[in-house]
Amino acid sequence: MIAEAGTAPAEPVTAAALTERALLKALAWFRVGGLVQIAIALALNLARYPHVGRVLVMVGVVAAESVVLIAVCTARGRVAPGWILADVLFCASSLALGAAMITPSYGHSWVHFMYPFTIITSFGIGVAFRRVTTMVTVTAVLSLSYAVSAIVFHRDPIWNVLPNALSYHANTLVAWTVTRQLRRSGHAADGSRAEAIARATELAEERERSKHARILHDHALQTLETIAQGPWLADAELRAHVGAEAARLRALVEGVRPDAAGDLEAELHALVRRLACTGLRVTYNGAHLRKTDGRRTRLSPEVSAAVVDAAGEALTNVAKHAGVTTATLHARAGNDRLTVTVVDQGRGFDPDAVRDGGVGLEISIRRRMRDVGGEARVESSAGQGTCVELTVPLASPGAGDARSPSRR
Amino acid sequence: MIRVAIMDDHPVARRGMAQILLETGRIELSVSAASPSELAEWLSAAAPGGSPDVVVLDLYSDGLYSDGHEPCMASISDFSEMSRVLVMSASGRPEDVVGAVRAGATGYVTKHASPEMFVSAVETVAAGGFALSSQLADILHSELARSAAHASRRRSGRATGGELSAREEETLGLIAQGFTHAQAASRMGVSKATVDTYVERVRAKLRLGNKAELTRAALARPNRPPLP
Repeated sequence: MIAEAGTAPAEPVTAAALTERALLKALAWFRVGGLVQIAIALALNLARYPHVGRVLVMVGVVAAESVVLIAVCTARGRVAPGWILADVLFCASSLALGAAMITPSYGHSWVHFMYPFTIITSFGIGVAFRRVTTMVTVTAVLSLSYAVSAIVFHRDPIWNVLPNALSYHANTLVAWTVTRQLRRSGHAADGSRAEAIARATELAEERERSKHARILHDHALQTLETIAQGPWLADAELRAHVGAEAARLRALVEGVRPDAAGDLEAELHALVRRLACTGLRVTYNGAHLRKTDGRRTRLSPEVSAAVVDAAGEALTNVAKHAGVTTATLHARAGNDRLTVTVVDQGRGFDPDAVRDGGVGLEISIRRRMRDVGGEARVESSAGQGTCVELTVPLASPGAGDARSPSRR
Repeated sequence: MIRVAIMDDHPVARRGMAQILLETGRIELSVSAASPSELAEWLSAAAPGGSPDVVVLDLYSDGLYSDGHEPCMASISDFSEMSRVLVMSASGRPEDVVGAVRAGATGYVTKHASPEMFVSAVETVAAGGFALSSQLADILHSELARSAAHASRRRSGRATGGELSAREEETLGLIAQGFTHAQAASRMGVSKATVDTYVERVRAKLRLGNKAELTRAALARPNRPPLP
């Protein structure tokens, strides 16, 4: 296995892989134990066997089979169910064969050494098969083989055979339970480690980002913003441009990637920048959006674009008609809907009066929002500023972006 | 005439703020200091009647108590004992905002606020009120709502400073949207004075329960020079 060479491994070994290897080792040792048991039985009882030569041959075959099984599984790094099944069939037949060859002249069924061997090595069945029904069925192959050969060849009474046969099932059940637990712990450990690594990476990136952000923040950004607001630049257009650049830098520093399309917060930031160029200073209050990161992705791009457009129209309206240079853009994602409001303290308008800016704005914004299943409300009165409120329903978790309302 | 002291380690920012304040004609600049220690020295040397009405502090200043990377909350609590503190910071991070108010600031304005907002905040603070800008309101609203949710989940016995009542939350929400106190009052169906009271209560609740932490922090601070 390359990962175990002297140099550091390219990838750390997972806990799951380690679990499988441990189980494999246990299997191998059980096999060894079984073979040792056979050796002892032979040493003590060989003289009594009717066909010594055949017994020795069979033992040789059984030993060889064990070696092959372990070798194959080691090569794969785990206990392979297919091979265990083959092994079970092999063991079942050798149970029968062994029983036939060692028909005792006295009523002692424990001379039949294949029984303890298969009991010990049945551990492998519990390890190899994950589904309990499969595991029980495979065990049954073995236990039935034993039962049949004991009854047929050894004339064992049923009250002796039954508990012996059930021992197989007890064994494999315990093995199966323990294995399942081990595997689960392995998985959990891997999961925790992956998460920890992801978190550490995130943290490192965040630290790096805030280090840069702090530097930009404290110096370049402050200077730019001061220049944009003070009287030192006589050229109004240049001042607006500096203001827009400051806004872009601010968005960058505050963790919003400026060009992420379809991301509501980024688009709102971009909107604010665009308007800064026209001389309108928009205060963007999106603290509620920032904390609910998961919600951002619940808006389909269509809906997101509609909201941004409608907000943009409202803000442009402020720039053109309200007679003020500032406005507030507020965004909040509640449990079932997103609300974006544009408020200004400008001269307002009378909603009943037929006016170019007011009525057109309301109709156009309303239509834009209705098209995506949301709504818009415009409140204003002369001298009292204007409030435009846009709401859209948020998709429920799981419905995802696929669910966008049909256009009218 | 409102007397204002400015503290900020960024010279251009100081200049900008001074300019904005002086232009109003209603505000005079007592001192423009580059660090908390400089400001403290000036204040201790000032004549008794000469202390400023408002101290405008930058949160992240190189100074005695910090190396420029930690917000100097300690300065805020120190100076708020002698005067009213308005924090003017480039940082808009919720932890900084809430921390500053908890430490004793009567207002928080971010540096990319408009000059009008800055001036109105200074005037509000000088008059004894809580300068709650829409940004501050938004941040407080989301932060306090979140910590209330956490607290109710954790059920810890620690005093978290009291939760906001429904009305107070509503007030914060409306101010966060950009409404004036008067407009918020008419939307909520109460008088403006009531809204002002709600705002004051919010501030009081933020400060409540944090005195223990401030005391602990003060005891842990090494070798600070005594302030008058």
